[in-house]
Amino acid sequence: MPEREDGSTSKAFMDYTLVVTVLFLTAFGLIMIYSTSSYEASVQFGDAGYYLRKQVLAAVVGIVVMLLVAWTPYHFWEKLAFPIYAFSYLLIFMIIPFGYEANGAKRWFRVAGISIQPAEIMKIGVILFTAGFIVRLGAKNIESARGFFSVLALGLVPAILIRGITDNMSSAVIVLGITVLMLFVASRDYKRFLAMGAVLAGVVGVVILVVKNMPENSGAWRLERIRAWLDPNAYASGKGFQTLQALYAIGSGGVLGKGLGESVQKLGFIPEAQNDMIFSIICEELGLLGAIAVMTMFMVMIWRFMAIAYSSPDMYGGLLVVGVMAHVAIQVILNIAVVTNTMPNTGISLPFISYGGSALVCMLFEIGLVLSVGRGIQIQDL
Amino acid sequence: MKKKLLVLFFVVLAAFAGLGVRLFAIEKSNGEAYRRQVLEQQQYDSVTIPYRRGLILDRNDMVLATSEKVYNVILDSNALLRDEKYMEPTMNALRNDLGIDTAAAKSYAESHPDSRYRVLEKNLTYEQISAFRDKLNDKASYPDIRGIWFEEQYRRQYPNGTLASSVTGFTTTDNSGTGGIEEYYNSVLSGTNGREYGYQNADSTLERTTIAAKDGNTVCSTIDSGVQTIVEDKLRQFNEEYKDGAHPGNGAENLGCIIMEVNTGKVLAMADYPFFDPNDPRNTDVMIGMREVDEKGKKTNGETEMKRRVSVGDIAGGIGGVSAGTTEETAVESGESAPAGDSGTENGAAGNSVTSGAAGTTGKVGAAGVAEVVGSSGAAGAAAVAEAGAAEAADAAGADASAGDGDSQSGSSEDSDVLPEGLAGRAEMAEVVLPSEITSDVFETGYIGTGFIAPKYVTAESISFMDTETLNQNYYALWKNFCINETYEPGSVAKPFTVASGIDCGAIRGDESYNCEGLLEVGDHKIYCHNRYGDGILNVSQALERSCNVCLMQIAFAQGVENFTKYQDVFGFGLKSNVDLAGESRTESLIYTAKNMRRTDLATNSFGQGFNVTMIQMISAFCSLINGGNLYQPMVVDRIETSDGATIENMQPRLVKQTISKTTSAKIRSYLYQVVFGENGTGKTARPCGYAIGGKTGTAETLPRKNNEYVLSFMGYAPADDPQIAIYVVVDRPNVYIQDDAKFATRIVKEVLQEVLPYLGIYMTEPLSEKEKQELADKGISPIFEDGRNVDMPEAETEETAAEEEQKAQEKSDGDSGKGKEKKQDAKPEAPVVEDIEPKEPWKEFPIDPETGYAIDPKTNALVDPNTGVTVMGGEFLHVEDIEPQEQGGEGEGEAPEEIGVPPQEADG
Repeated sequence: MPEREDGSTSKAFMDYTLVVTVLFLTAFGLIMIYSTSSYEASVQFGDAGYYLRKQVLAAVVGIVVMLLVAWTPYHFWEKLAFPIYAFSYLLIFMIIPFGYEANGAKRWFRVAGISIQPAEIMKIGVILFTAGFIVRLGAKNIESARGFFSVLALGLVPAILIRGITDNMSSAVIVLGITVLMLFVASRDYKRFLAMGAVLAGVVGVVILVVKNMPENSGAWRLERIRAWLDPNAYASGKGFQTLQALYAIGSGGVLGKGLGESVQKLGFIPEAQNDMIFSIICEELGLLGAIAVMTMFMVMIWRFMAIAYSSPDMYGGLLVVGVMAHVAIQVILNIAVVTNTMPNTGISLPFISYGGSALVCMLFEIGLVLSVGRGIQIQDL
Repeated sequence: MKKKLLVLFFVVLAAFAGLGVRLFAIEKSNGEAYRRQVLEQQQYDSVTIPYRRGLILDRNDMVLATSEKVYNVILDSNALLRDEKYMEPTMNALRNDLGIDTAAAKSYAESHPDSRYRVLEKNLTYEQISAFRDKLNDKASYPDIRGIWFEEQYRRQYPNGTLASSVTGFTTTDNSGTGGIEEYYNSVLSGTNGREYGYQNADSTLERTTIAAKDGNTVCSTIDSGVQTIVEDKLRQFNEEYKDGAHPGNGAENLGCIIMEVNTGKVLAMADYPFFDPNDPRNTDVMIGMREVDEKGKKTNGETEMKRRVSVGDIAGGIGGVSAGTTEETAVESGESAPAGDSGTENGAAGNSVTSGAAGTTGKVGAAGVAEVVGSSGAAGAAAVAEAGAAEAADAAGADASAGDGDSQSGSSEDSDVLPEGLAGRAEMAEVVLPSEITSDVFETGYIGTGFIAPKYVTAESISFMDTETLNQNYYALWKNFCINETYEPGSVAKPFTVASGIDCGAIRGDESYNCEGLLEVGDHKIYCHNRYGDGILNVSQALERSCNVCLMQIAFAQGVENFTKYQDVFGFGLKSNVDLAGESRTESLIYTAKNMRRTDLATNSFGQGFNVTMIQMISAFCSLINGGNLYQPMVVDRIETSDGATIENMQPRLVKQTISKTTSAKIRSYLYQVVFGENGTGKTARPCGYAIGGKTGTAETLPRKNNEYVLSFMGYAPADDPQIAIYVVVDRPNVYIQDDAKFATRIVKEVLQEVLPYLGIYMTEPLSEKEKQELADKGISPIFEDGRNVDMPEAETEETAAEEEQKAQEKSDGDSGKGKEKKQDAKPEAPVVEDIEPKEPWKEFPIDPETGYAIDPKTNALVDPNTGVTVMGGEFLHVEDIEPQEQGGEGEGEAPEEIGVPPQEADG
């Protein structure tokens, strides 16, 4: 529950629980990045703190951004929503001529030595613009087919572009997921969402069946990814390698883990362990208990999101928070699902913890939005 | 909306819960398997950290052997192929910085993409790899050099090349020592490899541990590199001077030299030629000129088609025949039963003894082989002789003399040379080049009047024909340390021991006199002195001075077999000296026991023939003669240190026993002083300018006796009044036509001591003549005297003419020794006696052979030393002659060979 401040009934509200949770997870992320990356960094660059230094810089910038946004009235963004949304499109298209390629995919811009992923900007753009769009459309209109699909299109179009241009399936899923969840919360309807869920489940089921019955060595590499998911041992030296090594890490960590910094798997077995697979190293070093603790922290964060959205002074603020909540929840769930081989491997980072400067800054920007919404809550409203 | 919000929250919560369960399930169902899997993957991470083999230092801490770190270049194809862009920069760097053939590396990487370990290049030094290593470590500038790493190793280095190589030995690639200190102290020099590894502890978690390598300990030798260098230089010089002399090959079959501290048994220098470089022990170049051995390690002889196997009887027969052809007097000298001897030998050659001789050669135990052969050839001989009606002769020849000779020849060399350690194994075959063809060669020169076994020497060509086993055997022969690995008959250097045991057991007092008439009849044999015309009446000191065999036989007879063999044991003959070097020969079967020693054996043993010794045995025992009777165990290592330099073991000189009394020792010293300083001393030429030394020469005939081949030696000590070091030089079969001259050894001794004594800071005590000063100046040696007196010594000397030189020096030293410590009381008094009784010296009248400078006995055609009367070559005399001559011809200097070789282990039947 929000803290009550000395009697002043009109005093602005600051959600310290959320702030502490965010700062904790960010700091914990820095520790884990150092733990996971120091070996590879010293081998590759002769500097164990190579990744840590960059991430600390991003964290500092991100926290400053968060505080600035938190003190900015969130309605300020309502007017900027469309320009930002449109600018995000522009950035995605600009990838085609100006993009920077790394790890075989063209997803980044390099500006003054910092890489920026347009998909991260788009996530913010979608949240800001969709919230305003739904509010303008009105609660009744979004339940009409036209309203429903036009809101859906706000996420679907950029998702397709992100998938098509930057070949980034996971960001596409997240962008679409954010839109769908915001729409879900805004509308009173269930049927459409249940139908969508059913269709999704059906497609997944069919794909699995098809892939399982397909002869080996056929189909695109993405199918192979699915095969590797279904039977990682059969692809131990190929597509299944990363997943399998992550499972080894989780399994070998046991309940209490090997101790912070004691991971063996990070020593070259899990490539770039500081990125998407960082959760497996958390499991290895801190054990099941550490992993559950991290997940609990995320749960606390999502609970705070819900509470703020619940009490938000207006629908716009509430939808903003729902968007951020959707973003964090989807990304955490998908990341852990990938690491535990619950779903096929696709590159999704763990918010606040995985290495990645632009992602962290964007995430903290979104937290700033939530805090700003929270500040609008009058204590007596609760 | 609020309701939906809660729905969303709980959906997310459910998802989290589901994932938590999933985590738990992974841990629960597969945790154990995955833990093991992780540890298994870790295996390759276990790395051996090599230890560093200990150093070998000399007594001044100069490095004789060290181990330097070298690097192997390892290719990790797996890492290299992770990205295509790695290949080009990596290969460029390999080619440019390491000079590696990248085509092979590349094709290997491509054909073995999963390989993680492939040695591309071995033994590169730190300097050689540093350029590449810098690039490897500079990820910023060279991010794409991958898949190459360096494995560390140590490589043994001998910075001084051949210096003391027989003492140090060498190491094989797996760091185990072969020969010398490297083998004997292998466990001390070896350390323990370290390891960096992960292991599973009780909780199934991985522990990473580094166990540092424990480096080997340092072995500090007693060898003094300065002395060793001098010794090796002189041996090398000798070889240069005499190589390819009488035949293509080294200057001598073996050259050995040991210098030892008299009062501790510590070896200062030990060298044997040919030298090999322990850094490159398999270099065949240094092998050229060595006596070649066959695939069984036996010394080889002559051309295959030119030789045949014969028993010794046959050799003798051949020799007899040749002698007969060249010398009219043969029949007379051969004595009564020449016909019987001839028929016996021919018979033997044609009959069983050929094969039985061969059997004896390969027989394990000389004694057994001998006994058998004696039997069979005796039988053959007996049959033949019976027909000839000379049963007695046959008996003597077969059972006693010739068979013993023949078999002991093969047997002895085999037994003596087969080292338990297998370093050197060889046996001399009774293979003889047919006399006819040798003699054609030899008679042109006019020097050799007897059958001659032409040895075979290693040449570049013969190496190319060697099969692996033969080549290995020749390597062993090269690597063996003559000073400890090989046995031989010592010859006259054994005489001081005979005298010492005689005095010490009380059989003689030292003031006895004996009459030498040139030969002594012992049993059925005539055993000649080196001077066949007789030395006249000599006392004990003079007997040693002139190396008179007859006197020594008398002295041996005075003490008897029991005492003689007891003292041989006391001196350590037949026992290992236990020097701390690998592969010392066993000699217990190569000496007589009181049980099997006959009177003739005693006679020949008294002057050093008939039993085998090693150099190290001789010099250790000799030190005890000199130092008052203390026999020290010889040692080449006296300290062991850890790799950090902390001493962990100090080996004190080990006194094994008291061999003789102090007074006996003092007497021996005085006698040996006379050998070098006496008027007729055989060892004069061993004396370095400015020093007084004592010692004894040796000239031992090798087997087979008629081969005119000798082992020359000198064993001495310096300074004479206060012995500090003992030196023993052996020249085994010098490469000259007339080998019978101890000067081959004494010259080396002189040259070595001339430099070693000043090096050791031992002051000169003897006045220098003008000639000596000139000699020193020529050698670049400045005389050192304790009181700072320099070149100029008493004026009296300056007047001497070169011609008088020797005699004057003699007198002078006698005079000087008066002021010297002990030598004067002990040694001198006896000297004058000789002059009075000096017998007629018939050889002085012989005509001088213009070619050789030797006198020629008109009766025998023998070459005789015009000064001493010693027969050096030719003539039909034998040192030991059977009354019924089985063989004849020959001659010999100091040592009369009997048919002696290996003493039979069991009494002859």
